[in-house]
Amino acid sequence: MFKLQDQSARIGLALLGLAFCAHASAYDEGTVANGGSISGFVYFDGAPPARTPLTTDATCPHAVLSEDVVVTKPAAKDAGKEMNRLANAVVTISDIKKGKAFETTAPTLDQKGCVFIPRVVVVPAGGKLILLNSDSILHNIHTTSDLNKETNMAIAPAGKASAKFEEPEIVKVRCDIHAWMRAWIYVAESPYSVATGGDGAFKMDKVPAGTYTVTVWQEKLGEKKAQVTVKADKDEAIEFIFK
Amino acid sequence: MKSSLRIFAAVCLISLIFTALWADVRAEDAKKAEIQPAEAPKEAPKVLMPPLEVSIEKGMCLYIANCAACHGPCGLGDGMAIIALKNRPRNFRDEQFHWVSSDDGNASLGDLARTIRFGRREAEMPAFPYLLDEDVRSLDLYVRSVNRDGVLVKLTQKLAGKPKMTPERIAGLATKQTKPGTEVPWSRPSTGYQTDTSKGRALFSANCASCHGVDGRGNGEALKNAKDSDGNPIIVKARDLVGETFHGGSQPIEIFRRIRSGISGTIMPAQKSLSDDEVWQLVQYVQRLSKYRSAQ
Repeated sequence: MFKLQDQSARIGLALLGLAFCAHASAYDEGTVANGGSISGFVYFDGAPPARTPLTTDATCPHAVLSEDVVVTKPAAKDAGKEMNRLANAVVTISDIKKGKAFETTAPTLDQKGCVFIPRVVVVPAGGKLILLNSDSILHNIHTTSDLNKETNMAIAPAGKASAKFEEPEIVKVRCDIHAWMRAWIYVAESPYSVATGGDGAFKMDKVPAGTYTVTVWQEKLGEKKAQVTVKADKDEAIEFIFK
Repeated sequence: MKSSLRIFAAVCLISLIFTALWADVRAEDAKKAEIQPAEAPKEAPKVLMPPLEVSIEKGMCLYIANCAACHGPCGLGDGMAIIALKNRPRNFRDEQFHWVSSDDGNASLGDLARTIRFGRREAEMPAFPYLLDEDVRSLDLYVRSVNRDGVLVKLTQKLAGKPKMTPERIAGLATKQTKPGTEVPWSRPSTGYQTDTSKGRALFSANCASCHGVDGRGNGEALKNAKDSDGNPIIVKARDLVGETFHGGSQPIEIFRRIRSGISGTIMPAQKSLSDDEVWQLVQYVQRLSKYRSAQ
């Protein structure tokens, strides 16, 4: 009998927990007047690790290079900023509770030439992620994460599907059929989360004036944090350097 | 002759006595009935059946009586009967429900009800046709709570101490990950789909052959290099669709659900990028592959 009471107590606690989470992780969407912006670059200091070719399947068209750390050399015009630019890092304002609305267009995760494109995709919590397969062979999308339940979906050649992730966290993605294929789904709590492109640049606009903690995450290099004060209608430049 | 007459007379006499006694009783009943109406409620009760009693307590009793022999007293799949079984019964605490038909990989109410009512004969799970609807729902509650306990333990080990991870939040996540799923809607196959096998064959080689093999023998190329999420090689086996029985069931709709929703907790993915008609073509092809097709 004790076991049963324990059980119902747990269910009660769980409901309480759900109500609590809904309250704690709420992000209020609205319009932002006179918002500032945060922009900058993510750098990689030093010689980048070599990108090694991964085992390829006979059905895959070409040798695929590892994408753990992808950097590009700065263009000639960027004198004084000789450090390599780091792609596929996600910059996010981690403590914002209120601000602009989410984008209405759903992000896409494609599988093309036996590579996930992009390597890191940012998707709003509870929002739709479009899954594509641009190859003529079968791929699947198998996620591993803690807060969201595991998802395992096959995408037919030239097929399309979609998925949703309710809880904000970083979800690891693989294709079981081609074991080297990796991607990351960054499930974001607010619209102030952006992935850096090949040039290592990022920009977040319509940020309400205030002081925030900005975090950058990269799959291999980890996390870095910075305090940023945003003023109305002004751009705040910051940079992150990984080694 | 004489003796049979005597017996006949005796029977007549006895029945006469009984009839007389019965009449007395009836008369008394009638008297009571005459008195009764004044005390009885004016309206007759409208509910003829007792209300459905669905509770986790009832589920536990039913579990002990019907399930524990194979699935074990604590649901770990280690009941006494396993010495006689070829397949290991489901461990409700540490494994996911495999035979799902939902969108999110969680077993729906219907999934567990079908498994309990009709069994999974190919996987040695017997049918329990004598259980009432309320019994099945009660069992669903109990078995799901065992599953949730297991998920809660795992999540707590992984998440305790991390920022924002209060025990209440972890409990909330465990509830969310084990709540009944919503079934994926499906439509009936279009007429004449069974006459054309070439489409099914083409779909099979494009969507299934990488694991199940071109001939369906479960010897696909993809699984030879299979790795887990940390990149360590693992041994995974796809079902030999020719020589083995289908554990999720061999009826067309059961195969349809297996393709559409996958097998939760295994490498078999859910196929949501094909149309209903394309999945039916695959169902038909897979049924034809099986050497057990004549028995179906």
